[in-house]
Amino acid sequence: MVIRGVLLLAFLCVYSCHSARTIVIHSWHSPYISARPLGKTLVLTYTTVPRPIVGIHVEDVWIDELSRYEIQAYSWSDFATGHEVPSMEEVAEVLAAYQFDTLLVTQLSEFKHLNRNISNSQVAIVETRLYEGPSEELYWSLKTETFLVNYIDGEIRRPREGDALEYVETVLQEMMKDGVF
Amino acid sequence: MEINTQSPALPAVIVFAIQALFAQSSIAQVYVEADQLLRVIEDQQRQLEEQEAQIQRQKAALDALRQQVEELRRAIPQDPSPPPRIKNHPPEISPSELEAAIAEAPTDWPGSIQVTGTELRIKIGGFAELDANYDTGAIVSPAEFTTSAIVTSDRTAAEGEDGQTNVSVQVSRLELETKMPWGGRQIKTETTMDFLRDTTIAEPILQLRKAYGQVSDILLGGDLLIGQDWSTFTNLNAWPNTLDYEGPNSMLSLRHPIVRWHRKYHPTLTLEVALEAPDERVFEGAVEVSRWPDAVVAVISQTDRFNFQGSFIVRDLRGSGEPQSAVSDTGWGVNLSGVIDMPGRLAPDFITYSLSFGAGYGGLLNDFPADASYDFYENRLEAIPTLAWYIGYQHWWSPCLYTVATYGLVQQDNFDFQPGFAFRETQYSSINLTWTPTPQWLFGVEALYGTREDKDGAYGSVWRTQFTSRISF
Repeated sequence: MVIRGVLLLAFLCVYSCHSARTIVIHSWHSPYISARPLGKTLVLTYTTVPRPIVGIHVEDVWIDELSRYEIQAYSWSDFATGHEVPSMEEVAEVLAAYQFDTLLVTQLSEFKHLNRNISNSQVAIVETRLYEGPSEELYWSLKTETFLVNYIDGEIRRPREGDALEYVETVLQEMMKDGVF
Repeated sequence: MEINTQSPALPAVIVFAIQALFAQSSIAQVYVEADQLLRVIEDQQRQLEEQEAQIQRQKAALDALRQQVEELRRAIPQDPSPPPRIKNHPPEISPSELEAAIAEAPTDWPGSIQVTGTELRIKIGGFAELDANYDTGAIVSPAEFTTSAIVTSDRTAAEGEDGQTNVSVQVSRLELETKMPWGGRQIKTETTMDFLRDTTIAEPILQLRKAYGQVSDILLGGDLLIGQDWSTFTNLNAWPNTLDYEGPNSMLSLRHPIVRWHRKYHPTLTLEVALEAPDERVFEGAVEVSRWPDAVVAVISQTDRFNFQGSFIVRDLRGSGEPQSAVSDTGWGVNLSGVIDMPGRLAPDFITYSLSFGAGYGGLLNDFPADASYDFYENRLEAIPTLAWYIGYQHWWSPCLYTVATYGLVQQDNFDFQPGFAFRETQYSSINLTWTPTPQWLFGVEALYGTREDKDGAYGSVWRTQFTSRISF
């Protein structure tokens, strides 16, 4: 009995050290648009909760990781000032003016609230979507649950470096599986 | 030859001649018209033939298109699932509506509804929760694991001594929040209700939890809150995620009427000052006769990895042990509590903790031991020294699965004049496994163990196993 308990504890310890920081909930691939190279990619990350803001830090992580795969990627924040979420007209203008092939959008859409009395959370529901640059047509999307630094009382903080990297790597792996990368 | 115009035969001849002449002419015209008609018929025949050929060509094209469509249909996977956004948020948002999705972004209060014709926004929320638990011993708080409610002597089967199961929805909650701009400021209100008015039974009875209004930037650059809310002495951020509704015995969790001013002096530093209603006193041998409100000061620090609150409370404890006189004592308490985010490989686990000490503040704790006891012989009220602490650790197995383990202790130094059944010490332990398949649904099991010891040494302990399902909206 004791040995079983020790083994279980050991398993849990090992398992906890390798627990995923990002898990995939749902993925979708358009049946009408076949696999295509990302090409020149514009990366936009933003959230609307608890207030609209562009995630410059996550955009930087995306750019770094895509460049490792020799993808020519640019951050939305390179084309805009401030942290305001852009309108589609603004995005479309940049897509057309700089002849981007793909628009990669990452949106933090929701938090998981665990406590009955406070709105704190550590888990964000994140959607990543790929659009064809010229037509702005969605052809691939992925929904994940991802860890953040504690979100406390309406104050949102950027994810930890390691969590952001793991999130981007997880999404890239899913892209490869689905043949869109 | 002279023509006799008077002859009766002449007109007949003329008429015949004319008729013959005209008859010749009309026959010729008929032939012409017939030729023309024949040409028209031939033209129409040709047009018909051309149209028929065109129809045949269109038919062929249509057949080709049909064949292409069928080929495409066969190439499409059966029942292609919609993208996540579309799947979870009907009506559908088509890909081309990214513009609309982004355009909708600039709202600073997602989920709220604007009242037409006003600047008032309303948000309705809450959750439906079912708790099912089994106790191995006598405890008289079915919906919450209140360790002070563990029966220490004369335990009966009716109190659950032989084990009891309770199923309750009492903790289900309804929340109504409003926000309205006011000259550059914001007016906010919150009203929440649950069904936990009586914790000694499992039947739901409506209870007002919170009812307050708050105005931003109204006094000395700070916000003012007036109404019923959590005591300022409490640090809600340090509340561990137990499935048990009450949480650790040493958690400070009183809600009552307050007037609170608070201001953020720095992104990481907030000051709160409050006057709170002198109610919910717990006196042994005396009736509460309140005089002055409680005064509370709290300093809150929030950085990337730490949350810390240090708070101090002063209370005028006043009661009447005999009808002809009121006696009082000063109560006070200090609370140090917060959250520590674990570093490195242990992230994103975190620790919650609280340490409070003082005299005469016990009624603010979850276990609500007495604030003060009345000495009948000396006709005096004495604030009871109390120490309370807890620690909790939350480990994430994955973003949708976690475990919380807690331990809490409450101790009081008893006076000689206190009765033998007076509260002396309680302990609270819990461990759970909680699954959150969606942000709206939480589902878990928890094991709890609690003890209570009285001044005279009477002792009781209970194991509880709890199952919880909470669906939020």
